[in-house]
Amino acid sequence: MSVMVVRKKVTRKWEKLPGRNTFCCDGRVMMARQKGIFYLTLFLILGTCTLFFAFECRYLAVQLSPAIPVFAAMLFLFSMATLLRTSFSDPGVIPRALPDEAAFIEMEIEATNGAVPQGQRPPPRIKNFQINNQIVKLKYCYTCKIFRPPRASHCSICDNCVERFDHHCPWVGNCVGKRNYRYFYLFILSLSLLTIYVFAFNIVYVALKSLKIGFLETLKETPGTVLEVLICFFTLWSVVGLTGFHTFLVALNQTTNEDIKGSWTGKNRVQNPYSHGNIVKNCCEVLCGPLPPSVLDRRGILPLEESGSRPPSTQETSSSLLPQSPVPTEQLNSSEIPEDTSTPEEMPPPEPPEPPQEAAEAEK
Amino acid sequence: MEAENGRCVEELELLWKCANCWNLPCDLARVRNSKSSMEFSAELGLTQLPVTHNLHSSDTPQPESTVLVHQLNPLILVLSLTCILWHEMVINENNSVGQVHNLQELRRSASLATKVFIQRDYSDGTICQFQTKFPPELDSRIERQLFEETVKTLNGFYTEAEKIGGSSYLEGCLACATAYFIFLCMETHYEKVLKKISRYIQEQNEKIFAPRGLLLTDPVERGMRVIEISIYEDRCSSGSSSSGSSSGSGSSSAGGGGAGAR
Repeated sequence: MSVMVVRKKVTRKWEKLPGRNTFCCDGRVMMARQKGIFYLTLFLILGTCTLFFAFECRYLAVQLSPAIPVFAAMLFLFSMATLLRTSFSDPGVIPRALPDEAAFIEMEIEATNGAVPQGQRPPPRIKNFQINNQIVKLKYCYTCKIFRPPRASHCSICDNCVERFDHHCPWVGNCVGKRNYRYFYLFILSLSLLTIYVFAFNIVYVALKSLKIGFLETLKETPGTVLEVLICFFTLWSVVGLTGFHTFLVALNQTTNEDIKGSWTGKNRVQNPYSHGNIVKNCCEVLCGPLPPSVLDRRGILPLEESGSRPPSTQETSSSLLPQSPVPTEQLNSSEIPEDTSTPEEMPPPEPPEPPQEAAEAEK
Repeated sequence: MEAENGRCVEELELLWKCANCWNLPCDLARVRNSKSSMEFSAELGLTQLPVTHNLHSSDTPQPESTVLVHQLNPLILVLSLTCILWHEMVINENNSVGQVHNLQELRRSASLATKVFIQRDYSDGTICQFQTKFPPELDSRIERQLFEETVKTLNGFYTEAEKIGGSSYLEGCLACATAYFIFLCMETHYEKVLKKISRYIQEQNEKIFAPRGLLLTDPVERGMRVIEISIYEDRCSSGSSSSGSSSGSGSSSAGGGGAGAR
């Protein structure tokens, strides 16, 4: 007599998260919906570097030094690693308020502002806080139903509130916020260096080879060089410029969002209360400071009875039992199910199939 | 021989039901070389072990082993009892399903009256701190001083997690030098402190809050926005449910500990 081990599909929290994000690899990867430009970025970097390693490096390694391709490879790997880290990680999304919490805040707001008569527009909800002897206003986010922490902002593309929101970057296909700003900065820095490096050595290659066989012959032999030089030239102006701008922001401990809005500049504005006043200290804090983990818990398991419900009912999720559901025979297996990408196709969840579909699309 | 086997099964079954471990993976059923207990466990669907496999494997050494089993029957019973007691007392905190079953009962006996949310305090900047202002709803439930002490300790933990100093710089630089691959094997300092915080909250729930019909939820489960305090009304005993510890805070056992009736 045998016992059939039934593997039920486990619903993870990422499938029910509100907001316009795409999740891949069963919740491990988190990106924005529009990924086209991100693929272009990948293609440009990979394509240019492949051409460089295939053609120029072979000549330069022999003629000049074998350290040239080694250093290029290191730069390439570092920039790819930081790019993928920026694109795939949670930028610091603040989860939306659960219904209890939202109701509590609403009560507090009404208590302070008084009840608004029917038909009239409610006043903008703002709380004032004093930070380092300066008044900072906290805004209420109507979508997420929370008072946004200082420096947080709601990204309209991803439809999430993000802590220390910098900007939404289509080139990396994700928001840039508190948790991935340092990766973003290191990416653009390493990409600038890589671009300058490839550009410079392309020029060197063309110069060296032209001395032997002539300029036109060189271009005919390795036509990829022209392409590389063109790409590097245009990339240089944009990426190096961007790196310079972000270096300036890091030194002053500001975000792009604050800079664009002019939060800390101007005569009647307050000074940036987050800056330590010291460039080195600001840089250290932004780039080497402690990294908070994601509070989204994308890979947490929703209890079985929740697999058919919408996100706002996650209140029940949180107050209900541990992920090991009341069904004893299955619990041994459901919590131990390996990240099996085939299971979503076997038993798709009844509720909005959009996120799994997006994930499936992204995986292709 | 058959009668003895039957007696063994009945005794096991009785032990089982008495210990209220009916929804536990049955260690009793894993008594080696005992065909009857295998059948028994398979019938109840209690073990995921490939029973057929075990049956087959137990078939081959059968002649010697069955004799041995009958001689060892009383010993097996004693061992089983010890296992049950050990499960109940020592492995309590990891015994999620048994706990869950008990918590379900407790939850039914207590009803959630209201929730209070302790908001963030941004006066020191964007670091994670919570307001120590005592909410009026908790006036009759807990002493002001205890509450403030809890919140201040939590604030202290968060300050420690977000401390900018030599060690955090070192960690950041090391991580950068390895292109952040080191985070695949190493836990960050922040994560370590968050684990400490979960343990502290669990402890506080067990010792202080649950006996007063309150339950603290780890702020990490609320996106670090609020500390949620659930206030329960006693029906028979002041129990509190777990709050689906998705972040592995394991606050479930807190409910099990809170059994002080008011």
